[in-house]
Amino acid sequence: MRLEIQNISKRYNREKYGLRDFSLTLGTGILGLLGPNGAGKSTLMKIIATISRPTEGTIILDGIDITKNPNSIRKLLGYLPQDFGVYPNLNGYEFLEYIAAMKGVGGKHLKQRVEQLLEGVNLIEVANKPIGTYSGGMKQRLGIAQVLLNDPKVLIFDEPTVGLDPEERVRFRNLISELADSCIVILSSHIVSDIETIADEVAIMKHGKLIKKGFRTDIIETVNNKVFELEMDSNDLSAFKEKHAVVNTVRKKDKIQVRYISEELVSGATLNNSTLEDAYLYLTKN
Amino acid sequence: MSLFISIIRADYLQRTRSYVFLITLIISILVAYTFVPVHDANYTTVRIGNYIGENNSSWIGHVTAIMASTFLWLIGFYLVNNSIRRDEETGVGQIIATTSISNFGYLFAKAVSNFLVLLTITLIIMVMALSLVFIRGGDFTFNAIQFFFPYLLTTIPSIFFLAVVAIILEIIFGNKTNLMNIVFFFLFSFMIIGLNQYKNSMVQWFDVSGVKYLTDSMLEIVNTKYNQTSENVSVGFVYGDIIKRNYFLFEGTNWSALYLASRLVWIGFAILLLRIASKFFNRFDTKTTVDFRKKQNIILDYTKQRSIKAIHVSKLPKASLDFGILPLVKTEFLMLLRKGPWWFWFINLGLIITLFFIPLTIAHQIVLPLLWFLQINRWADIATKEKYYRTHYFAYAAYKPLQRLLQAQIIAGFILAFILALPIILRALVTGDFLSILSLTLGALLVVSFSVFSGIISGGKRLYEILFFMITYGNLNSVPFLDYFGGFHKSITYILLLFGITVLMLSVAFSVRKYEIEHQ
Repeated sequence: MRLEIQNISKRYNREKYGLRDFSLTLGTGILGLLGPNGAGKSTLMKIIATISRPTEGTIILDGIDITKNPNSIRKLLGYLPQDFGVYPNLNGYEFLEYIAAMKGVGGKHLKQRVEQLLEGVNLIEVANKPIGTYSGGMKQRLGIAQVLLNDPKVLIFDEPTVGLDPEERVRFRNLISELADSCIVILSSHIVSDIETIADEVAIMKHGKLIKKGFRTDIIETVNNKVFELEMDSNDLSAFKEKHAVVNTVRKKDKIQVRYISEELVSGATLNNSTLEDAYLYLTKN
Repeated sequence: MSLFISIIRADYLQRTRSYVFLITLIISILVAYTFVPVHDANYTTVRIGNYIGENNSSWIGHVTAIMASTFLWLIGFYLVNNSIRRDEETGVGQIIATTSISNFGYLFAKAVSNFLVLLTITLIIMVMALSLVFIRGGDFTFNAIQFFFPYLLTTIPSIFFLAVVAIILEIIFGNKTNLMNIVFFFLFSFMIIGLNQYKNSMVQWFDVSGVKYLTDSMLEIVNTKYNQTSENVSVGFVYGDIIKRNYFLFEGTNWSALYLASRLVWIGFAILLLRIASKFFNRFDTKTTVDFRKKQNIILDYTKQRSIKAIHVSKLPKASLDFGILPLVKTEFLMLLRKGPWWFWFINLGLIITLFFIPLTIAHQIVLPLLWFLQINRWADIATKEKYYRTHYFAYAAYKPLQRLLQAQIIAGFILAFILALPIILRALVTGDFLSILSLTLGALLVVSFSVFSGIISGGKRLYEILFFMITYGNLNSVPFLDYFGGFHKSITYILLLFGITVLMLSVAFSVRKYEIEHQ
């Protein structure tokens, strides 16, 4: 499978762009999307999910332009939006069967599939209760279950781990890894560690543009030998921040331990191993 | 104080910046234009026996103020009856609950905001009436007091009371909007229509709309001037009976201090009611009282099962393709049935059974439109609930959403309307009245198409609620052009007209939805 995003732009008015001349090519595997709020991650995902139309550009899935033929990807699509809702009067079974019908999925095995998905997201015991009584995390898991109703080949997860407890996050990661063998998975998250753990490739976005794409190691390499830690008085922190890209601070007894990225070594500072979070913060701050 | 003003301001701006408000304003202008009929019109709005006033400023001021008062009670409630609910749904209520504003302060701010929305419409109607004075006023001199006072002393206190009633009903009924709308319908019928039917002049002091004082003074003038003993006053759009119409010169009402005092008492009474109601306002703490039992069950169930089976995608039973819309129709129908309290179906069932036994004309012309109106909450968001519940991400990314989901919604809505009309359809079948069967079937489709149309063009359910309420009120008053179910027209031409309107509405709805799906 091959998904080619070619020069996509989404313009809201004369000056405001959600995406600007964005291009990317994807094969099977997991692409993690990182970027600050307003970077255009959700806009990009909505466009691929055919909910939103680009102002310019095309998206080609295995030779078919999905901006012109959205139904061609819809059959293969599994999409978990960031802020989706549910119908409170339906129960878990009914909701999934309804979504399945929307996706054009049915047949004699549907009931079993729905049941197994509900079991897999740990909702089987409450599946007969109205969704209106579910907690936020339970609704999120229901959202994850609906993604898998139709044997999707293109999976889009917008902030999928919001509301999940640590154990469920691990289970979700395992699930995604299994899917990545045969599907294109696009995943956005503000939690860099989630992306770092499961994404094969990472794309970093800012102001609607792609600023960096590559394998995790390649991206981390951007800040190799540039990440330092230094202890200082809290009074000096403001002045230090003006000169260096501070990525983290930890308050200690009398001092503050500062993690920063710089081309040069400051006296007293120690070189540290760089992480994806360092690279992300460095790239988006600059 | 600043929080109080901020709530009023924010609430007012939020409402007046909506499409629904804009559409309501346009409708208000159009309706206000019809409040003062031309001499050869085939309807009247305010009529004293067989007499109608000459179109001078006093008459136009009085008639339009009376009609504005009735019209706003008719539609205004549906425009403003979600003030507290919206704060609850958006989560703003929880922020407000943590501020220092008192319950009464908050509710009063909401009532004032409701009042300002209604006042805006009143002013629009008044401006329209003023222009009618110059268009249709002839050579009569303009009497400012008799033109403006009916608005000032009758309409404005009346809409203030309505603004407070909307808040109180919200406190009482909470999210049970279906029940609230229906209770209001009967309250309106009693307070605005019912009271005016009583001939005793004392009744005017119990008339919150203040209309009876004006019509009584009109009646007195006619009876004195023309030696009549008529007690018959009609308010509202009354069709036909043109030949007997006579005109009289109406120079205005004698505005007594007692009337002024009575209007102030109504305003004071409204504030008192609000004060009492504020004691029962939950301050957005709904969960502990409403959902506690359910939540507890869920938590218990949730903790029971921690041995979780992982999902193995490759081992999931294979899903096969099925692009039929029957499962969608089924679930949409299920959602329609489940809306509102379950016991409401006893009322529906009672009315359905009634349709079998009462005279066919009454069943068709009165009970059926009422029964359909009672389903207002089920149909109101039939094609807009995706946005409200934020499931549109699923819906619009689904396979052929326009051809499949929207069609399924219309079919489900139609099935419900058709089932409710079934007793009359069966009776018409027995008598061989195929025109009625056709018009009822089309009516069932039209009532749902109208919901889909108004929902999609306005982006919510409020416009449908307002218009459907107005239409039903018109149906119960036998207004001929609001007959969408063929109760008053038995001709193939009329059926074709209904069909044309349905097709037009559905075409617009499909086109707008197509645009929405493509241009999110």
